[in-house]
Amino acid sequence: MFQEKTPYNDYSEGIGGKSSLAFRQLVESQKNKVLNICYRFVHNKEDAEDMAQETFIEVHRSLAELRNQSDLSAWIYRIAVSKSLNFIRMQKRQKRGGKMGKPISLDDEIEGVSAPAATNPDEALAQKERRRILQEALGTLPKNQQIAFVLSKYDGMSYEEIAAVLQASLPAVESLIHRAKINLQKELYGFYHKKSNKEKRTKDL
Amino acid sequence: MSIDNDEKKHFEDEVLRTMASLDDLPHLEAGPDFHIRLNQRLAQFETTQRKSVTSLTWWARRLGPAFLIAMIGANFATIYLAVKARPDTSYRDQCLTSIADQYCPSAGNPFWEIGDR
Repeated sequence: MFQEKTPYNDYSEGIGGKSSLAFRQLVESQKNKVLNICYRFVHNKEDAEDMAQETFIEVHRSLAELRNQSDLSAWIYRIAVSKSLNFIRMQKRQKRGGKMGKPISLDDEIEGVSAPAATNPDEALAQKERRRILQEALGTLPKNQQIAFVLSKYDGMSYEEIAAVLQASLPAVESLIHRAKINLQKELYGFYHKKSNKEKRTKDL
Repeated sequence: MSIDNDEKKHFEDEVLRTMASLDDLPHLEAGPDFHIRLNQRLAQFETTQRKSVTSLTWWARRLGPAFLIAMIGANFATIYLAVKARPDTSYRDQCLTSIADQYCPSAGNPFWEIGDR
């Protein structure tokens, strides 16, 4: 599916010659998908846009490599995933270093949330907190499981596309997603159990 | 601490809700200024790259010839010092000749008159 000559593959000749029109067309065709991939990792629209832009800067910088890429879109999504994961790692380091991260704001949530959730601010905040906890739990998984799970949550990506991004077979991707779910369930169960014990101890005091 | 069934059910529900929290993330569309901001960042990136290449070229132009001269000078100095440090072999040659005269088997050389030893 990704080997046949498609409008995406056709760019490599134009882009290799540094045609800015070809690059603009590439950005135009891929920007929303790249943006949504980044968003599924970083959970914040502004950060996702930043990461998407960083992705295209990297694509532009690595133009010479495009000649060797048979699957242009998978290569771009791979860069997007890598940029997003690096961003998350950097955020964690900043938090550990005591630097204040962006405060959780309801505006972040309401901006992109569907109408019913947006009318219930408590639920919106609870959902944001669940995503934060999920992100922490995902950080404990092996990288490939993490990527496979997150990408599987994006409707815009098929399992074949995920396999192309991970440079793995379809059965391997299915196995990664299955193992990711099991590991996440264990991790999250342990987290909520510990949290509940902590709350009980605090109440007893 | 043991947990009862209600609590266990509660944990399981929370786990499932947490795992499903990415399901309702909305589909985003890049804003109309995406290209403008991208072009600005690309221009900034290329300026930074050009500056670092320019500064490298500046240093290479000045240091290159000086480095070359220094290398040639160092080679000549090494050759000169190597030649100067060559040991004087004339004294050694004299000693070897005298030892050879004394000990080499030849008629009339007393050292080789075995019967007398």
